[in-house]
Amino acid sequence: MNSHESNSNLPPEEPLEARLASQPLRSVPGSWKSDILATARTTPHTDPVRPRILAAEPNWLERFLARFPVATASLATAWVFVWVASSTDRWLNGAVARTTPTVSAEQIAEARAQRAALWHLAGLDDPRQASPRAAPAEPARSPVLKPRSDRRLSHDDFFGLTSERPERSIA
Amino acid sequence: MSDSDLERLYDAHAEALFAFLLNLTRAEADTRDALQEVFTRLARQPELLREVRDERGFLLRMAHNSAIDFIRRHEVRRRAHEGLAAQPTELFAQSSDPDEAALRVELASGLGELPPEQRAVVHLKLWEGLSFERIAETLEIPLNTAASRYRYGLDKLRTRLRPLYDEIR
Repeated sequence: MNSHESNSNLPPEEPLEARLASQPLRSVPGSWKSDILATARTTPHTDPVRPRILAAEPNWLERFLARFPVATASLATAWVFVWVASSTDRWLNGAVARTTPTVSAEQIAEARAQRAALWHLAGLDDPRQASPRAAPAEPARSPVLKPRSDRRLSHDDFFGLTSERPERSIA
Repeated sequence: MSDSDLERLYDAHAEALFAFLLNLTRAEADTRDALQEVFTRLARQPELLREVRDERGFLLRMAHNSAIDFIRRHEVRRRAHEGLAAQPTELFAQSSDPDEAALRVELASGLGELPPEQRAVVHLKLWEGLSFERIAETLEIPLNTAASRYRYGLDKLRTRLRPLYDEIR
């Protein structure tokens, strides 16, 4: 068996297991030790890896923004102003919606009745209660005109070869 | 961690870690990289071992995690070279006895056909001699899972090796 001898307190239960467990494993190559230990000692301790987008982006972005400090400050101020205005507007709209009283169905019906009475006193028809205007009647088709398919001339008709249209045979 | 501490850890555990990693990765280059990763982490973060009672178990867990990372990282490469994992690896020492040599070749090949999770359990049970409780702790899996993986893995090896084993017994 290998140098790391089995320290099992549970012996293999069958001869095959015992036979397999007795097969000696390969030893670690001797030349690895010095290389692995030397590399382990000399590898610098690195900070936890930042996500790639955070690690790569600020370099050029920071450099770009640092070149134009006034423009950067103005842009930041504008963004803050837009954000404040947007937040305030949203808050005010919410407040108005919250303070608007709800109108009951009875109040709506009463208002409609009052409006109808007013129009009646004025001697006019309430346009909202008037029946919708009837759609204009479709102009009567001239009896002279036939459907386009009937008006189409056949080859013989065109050349005056037949005086009457022959009946079509189904066969 | 001092140089002498790191060297002591290497002398005490490198053999076991090497065999375990080689059985998992099935490639000597990956084994070396994974072993390097383990010792580099220990050198950088000596506090990892400060409150560890079972040093071997802890290092085997580190090696297992490292090997799994390698296996995942190189999955594309392994797919491109389909069947690489099933290739016989020089996992065992050379033998002058032809019967033993044949058994070792067949065993290495059979181990390569097992899924890595079964292979890890079989290795720790047979060649590290760990109990199922310690295997479960090392691999951070339930006890029943460790036992069932061992049973399935051993059944496959038995099926594979039975003809040869009966012949040379």
